Amino acid sequence: MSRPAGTLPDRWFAEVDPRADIGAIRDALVARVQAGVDSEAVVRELASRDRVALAELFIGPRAVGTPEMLALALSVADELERALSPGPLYRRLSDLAGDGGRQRVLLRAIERYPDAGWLVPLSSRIEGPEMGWTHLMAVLDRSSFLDTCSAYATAGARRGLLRVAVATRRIEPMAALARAADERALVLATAYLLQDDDPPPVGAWLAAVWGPDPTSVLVGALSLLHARAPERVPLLLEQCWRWPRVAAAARGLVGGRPDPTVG
Amino acid sequence: MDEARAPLTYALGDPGPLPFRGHFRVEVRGPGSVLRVAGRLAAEDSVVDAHHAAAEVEDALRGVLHRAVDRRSRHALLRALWETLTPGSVLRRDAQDIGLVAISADREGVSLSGVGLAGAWYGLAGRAPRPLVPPDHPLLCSPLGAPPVLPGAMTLSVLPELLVVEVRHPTAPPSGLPGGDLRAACGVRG
Repeated sequence: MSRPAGTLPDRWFAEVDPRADIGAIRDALVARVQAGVDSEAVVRELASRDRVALAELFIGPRAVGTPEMLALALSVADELERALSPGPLYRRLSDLAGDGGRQRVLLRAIERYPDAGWLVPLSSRIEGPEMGWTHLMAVLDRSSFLDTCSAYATAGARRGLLRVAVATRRIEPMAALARAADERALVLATAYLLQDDDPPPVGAWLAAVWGPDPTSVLVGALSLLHARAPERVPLLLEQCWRWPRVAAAARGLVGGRPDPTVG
Repeated sequence: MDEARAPLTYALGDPGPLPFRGHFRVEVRGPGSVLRVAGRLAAEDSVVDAHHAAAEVEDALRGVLHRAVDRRSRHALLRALWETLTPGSVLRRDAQDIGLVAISADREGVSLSGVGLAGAWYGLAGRAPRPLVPPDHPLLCSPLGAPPVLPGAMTLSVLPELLVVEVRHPTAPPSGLPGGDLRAACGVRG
């Protein structure tokens, strides 16, 4: 197979001194990946000779954060993790990646460590107010999903959890919000979930995570539904027969009288 | 006493991500009487099944007033409560894993009864909660499950503001009174 002009062959990498020639190696790698030459094998061979030099190449002070170099770094993440522990590694990669590549870094980190606690601050750095969205959507089927939701709730995630709850119709994000004692977010999540054609058992979950009498949350959701999607109110009432004051509040709304006993 | 007064009565949430699975809380008011019940059953069922079980218990307990021989008597309310929970009586499901505390008050005083309790604390205004009884007290010595015979009741000589219990868990050991916000730990919000 012909090699693009200006790029060095694999054997050149096998012959250089990884530390002494690190500047040349970096330049050669940048040229190769920009030319579209697969370089993963070359990098792995370098790693087998000098792991510290490899780390210097991809995450050192002079590391190059182009999309191509980032993709190469992520393809050999397992080798880089031997030089630097995963949390700081992926944080450094996200700093190098710039706006365009941070999401790829996050996805790779999640793929490698789906249950890691350090993903929460990493997600916060990368996703800002939507923190948790990418991670939670990637681990929906794991048994640790609720714990992961809770970690995000504890870290202050709100929009990300709400978005996951609505997009997936899963209750765990709501349970996590309850543990963080965020009643307003729970009200919003409840109202959103009940707008689904086939809503999940929100009332049962609220009782399990918020307390045996979640009337205040349900009445808040009732008010939202009444204003935005009144046709969904019967669905809420169907789930809330256990708490008579919710039905009383609904009757009050219809009659234009809020229930004074519900805060 | 002119009016029946009873302490607020709560059960602590369980450890884990679903602390109030199967928890129930009911207040029933009669003429000059009040009954407050807090407890849990179906702790290891699914969230939905536990919700239905707790709802059924709450529904049944709201009917205690109508089943009591004398709706004004705290003793009659407690008796009606336990009869409600007797297997084959009112509940469709077997309450073999139920644990609860019941406070019943009338114009004469306040009585307390319970089953499946691991701890009980009372709170007075401005003071930290204190154990209601010593650990070997009969109140804390019964297993989970609707009792085959009518449990005893103790009379409270002082009326606390708050009564908090820890219901035994089918598998987890008792964890005692938590630090922090006690009301939140009992799922009481606002």
